[in-house]
Amino acid sequence: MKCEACLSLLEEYVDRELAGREAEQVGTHLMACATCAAEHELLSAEQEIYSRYDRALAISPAMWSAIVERAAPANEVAGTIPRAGLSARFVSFFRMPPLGLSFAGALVVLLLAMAIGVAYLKTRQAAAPTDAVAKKEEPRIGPAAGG
Amino acid sequence: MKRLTVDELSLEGQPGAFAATLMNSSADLVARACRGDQEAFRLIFERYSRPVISFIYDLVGNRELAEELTQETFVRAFRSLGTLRAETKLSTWLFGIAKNVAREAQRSRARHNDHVGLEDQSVLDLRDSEPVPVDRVLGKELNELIRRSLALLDDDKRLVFTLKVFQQCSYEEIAEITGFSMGKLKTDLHRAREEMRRRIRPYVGVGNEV
Repeated sequence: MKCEACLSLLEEYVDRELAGREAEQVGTHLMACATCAAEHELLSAEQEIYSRYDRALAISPAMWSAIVERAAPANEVAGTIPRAGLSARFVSFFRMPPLGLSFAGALVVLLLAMAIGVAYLKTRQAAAPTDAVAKKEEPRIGPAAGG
Repeated sequence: MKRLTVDELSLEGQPGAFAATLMNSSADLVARACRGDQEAFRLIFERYSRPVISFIYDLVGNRELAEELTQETFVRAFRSLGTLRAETKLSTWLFGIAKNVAREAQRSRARHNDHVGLEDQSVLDLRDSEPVPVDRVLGKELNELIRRSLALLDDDKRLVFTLKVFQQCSYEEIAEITGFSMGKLKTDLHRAREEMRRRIRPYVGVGNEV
């Protein structure tokens, strides 16, 4: 392996992302080439510096409480996690009080509208034959009256 | 075949520890959390809250905001556990949510002109610092140097760099979290390393001292 090829693979080598054969070739080259080995050492030294990075962050116990509190309204019972199943989600959808009420209201209005519509259609169907008879009889009455 | 005894199944001489470890594997915790077990989700939080808050802090550069966004990340995770696919690693999934939460916050802050950018004086001060040998850089100074250098990277480079260098994610995991192609993430990672090197090497003396 040439230095150019080795250097282009060095970061992936340090990241342990190279497949067996390539990693082996880079490793062998590093043992024989001081220039590439120095570059490898620099990368490793950088990695060591980054591993010393301390953000001094703490996880406060209040964070978990806040998460439970914030997540709870989405569930039917505080402190439980919703089941993943489709049927459970469907059921919980109806169990949510505000949505359940508005959905029930909408359903009642829809049923009323359907009942009125059906009643209206039945009245029209019942009236339709009478109209047809009247229309058929009209021409007969007309000439007789005119004659 | 020799049968294993309870003691042989234990870890560090604690009977039952092996079984407990199996019970608390990530896959098991997710399965239990999906069934409504709050304790399982609490264990997930305990296990992953530190890497998640560190990751978010590296992206947004603000402690209070990082805490707030970590909370938001776990609330979202809590609500969407059912969407977690069996083949997805839990940490990858959580980092993905955290990335989205942090990006949304960054966009929102950018709209309000309230973000740490190149104009930030503390970031610009970095360029005027004197080189210090690596063994003389105190922990606090080193942390500040890395934090400021990270803040100077653009969003994509900072994201990829943080996931690889600090969170030790594989390229495949980074691609899954970020949605970047392998080519883009390798290029961004390489450039981010170069930029970080340019800023850090002169001040900590890497290459001169080490």
